[in-house]
Amino acid sequence: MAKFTKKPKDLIADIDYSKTPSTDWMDTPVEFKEHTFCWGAKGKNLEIVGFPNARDWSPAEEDWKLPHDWENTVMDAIKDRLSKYRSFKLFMDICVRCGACADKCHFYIGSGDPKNMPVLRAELFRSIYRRYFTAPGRIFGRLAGARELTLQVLKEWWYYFYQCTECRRCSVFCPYGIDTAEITMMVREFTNLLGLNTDWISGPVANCYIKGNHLGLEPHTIKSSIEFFLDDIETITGIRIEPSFNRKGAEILFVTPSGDLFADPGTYTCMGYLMLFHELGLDYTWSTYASEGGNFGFFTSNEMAKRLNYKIYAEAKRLGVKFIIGGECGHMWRVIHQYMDTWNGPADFLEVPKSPITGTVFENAKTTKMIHITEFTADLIRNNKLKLDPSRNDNLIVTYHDSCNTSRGMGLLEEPRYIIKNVCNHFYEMPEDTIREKTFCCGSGTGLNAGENMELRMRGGLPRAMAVKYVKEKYGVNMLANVCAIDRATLSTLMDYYNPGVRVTGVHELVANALVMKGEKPRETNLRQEPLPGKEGA
Amino acid sequence: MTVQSLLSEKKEQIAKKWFELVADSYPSQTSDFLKSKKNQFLNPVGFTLKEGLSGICNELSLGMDESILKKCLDDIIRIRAIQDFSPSEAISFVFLLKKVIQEVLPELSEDAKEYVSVMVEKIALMSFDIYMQCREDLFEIRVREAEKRNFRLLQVANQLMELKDERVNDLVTGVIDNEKGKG
Repeated sequence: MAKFTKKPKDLIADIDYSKTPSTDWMDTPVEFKEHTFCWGAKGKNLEIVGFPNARDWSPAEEDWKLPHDWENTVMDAIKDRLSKYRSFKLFMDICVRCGACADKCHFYIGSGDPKNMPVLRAELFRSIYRRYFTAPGRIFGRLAGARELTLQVLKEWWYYFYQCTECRRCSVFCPYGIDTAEITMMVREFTNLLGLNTDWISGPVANCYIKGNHLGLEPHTIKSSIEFFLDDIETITGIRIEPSFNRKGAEILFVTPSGDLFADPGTYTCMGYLMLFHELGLDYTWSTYASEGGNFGFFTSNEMAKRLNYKIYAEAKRLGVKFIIGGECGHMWRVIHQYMDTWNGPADFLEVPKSPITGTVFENAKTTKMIHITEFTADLIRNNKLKLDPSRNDNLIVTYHDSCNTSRGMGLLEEPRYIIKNVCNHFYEMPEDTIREKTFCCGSGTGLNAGENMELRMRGGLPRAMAVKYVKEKYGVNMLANVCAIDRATLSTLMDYYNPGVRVTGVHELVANALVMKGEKPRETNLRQEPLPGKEGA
Repeated sequence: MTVQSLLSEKKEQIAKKWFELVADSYPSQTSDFLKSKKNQFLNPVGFTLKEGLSGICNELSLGMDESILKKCLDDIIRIRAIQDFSPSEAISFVFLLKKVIQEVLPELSEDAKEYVSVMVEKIALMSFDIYMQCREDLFEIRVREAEKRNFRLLQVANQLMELKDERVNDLVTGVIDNEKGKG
């Protein structure tokens, strides 16, 4: 009968509503919960690119099948990177734990998990750095914020550094300019040395290495996919477009994320590129080899990112083009703008990009020889080279999401907005703290756009979704524009969860809707084959 | 004085205390953040909790309008359904309301306590439904995303001849109708 003797107030006291761990963060082990992490890599994909410890593995299992001397591998790698990259050493040493970054991370804001505060996430690694690479850490241990490298620590690293999208919002607020994304890159690189990759990243890396794009599309599939778009464009405009593939001697090579070829709504953005280039009569070519603007190698190791990036330039050389235009992509631009030059540049065999339509020289791309399509299009509009009818987008009330990589990684803030304002009549900004260099991440970048971690993605995307919700309720926003393939895919899902009714579009879908093409038939529908405003009854 | 007027008189105090207790269901550093950061866009969880809980408190003294309650609960639970909470933890905040009212209005009559109890039960039952709807939405969006990813591949492979239904149309236009979970 003992179990019935408790009084109601004692029973209530047994209910614990608090999630505060009873132990210090160093002593609180990480718990792997389903829907918050990505599946482990397949051995075959690691083998293809020569990554170490190639085998199938699962983060949920106790045994990660690590090499027996994994601790030494990590230590050697830390030592090597510290000597190679001064920035890394500096970032380790100068943090004073002021906490300015603490509440700036979308994963922290959305999850409430303190280990997602950038300062604490970095401490997960910094505590090891102190223990093995600083005198106070060696002598005073825990008193100096140091701890031993154990399997538990490695698992904690893996869990939390794959909950950082390297968006760099925290860096904007750091008084010392510590780039937390670089710390995440380093730790991911260490996990990479132990074969601790995710399936969602390593699959695309292997595909890209063999076939030139993340999806593993072969040349004929790329071509037939684009032909489908051409059929749709013909239905909508009456114009048959005939783009070229792998054409030597073209003036421009066009490279876009392969997601644009298959993942809706990116496909409409891709149709937008095709229509714009046709209208301009641009001398350009697609490549079925350099058929990926993105670079998932960037989420594994510096070397792998460099190898994948090289394919674009090797193809540009082979085709003999003058310069490269890149499609609407996010991390592709961080790679090009911040890393390409030291990896594979300067691309002296190419020419400084000069618009054949306006004559504008893009000095900003002097060494990379690659420009973002919104730079190209904004310049066309500014020089009155396009005939536009923005009323065709009148059913859309648009807001713009800055991709972390294009805004913070290359300062592309005005061009997309300038284009949208010229092709749409209804545009509203989200609140100031959530856009431009302070933009909130979609929550699914750096290879976190898998399906099995959906719960995590909804946490990371929460601040962005709440800002969209605000403009939806205030202005009736029903379309979220952006210039990133991952955004196009994942923001659609984010909106479906938090803000049903808000759809997602690339900027060039809006451009193509408004673009009045020579010889087109009267347009009845937009690119999604929905009636244009005023043509609903047609 | 009726229970409704008592609740109406103290609604702000109840909402404030309730919010603090709910914020305390997060780790201590986060609880401080949720309570102190005022900007709604930089602290969307704190803002949503505060707004939602106030909205519910307001309804306790009014007519318990189901659509308003549903919206307030959905805003809160949609967030807690994807945070690191078990199902019971995610909706535990509802039951804290009883505790708060007891503390703020200790002098309530037995009848009034019974009224509060029934209200909390009603809110709890609605919360079960909303929580389940959020979790279903979570899995639904995952499936939809996978479908969108493969749609064009299927089209290229000419596998869509038999699938020309509304669902395919939805996939093409990107229109999603999962308003059912919304108030």
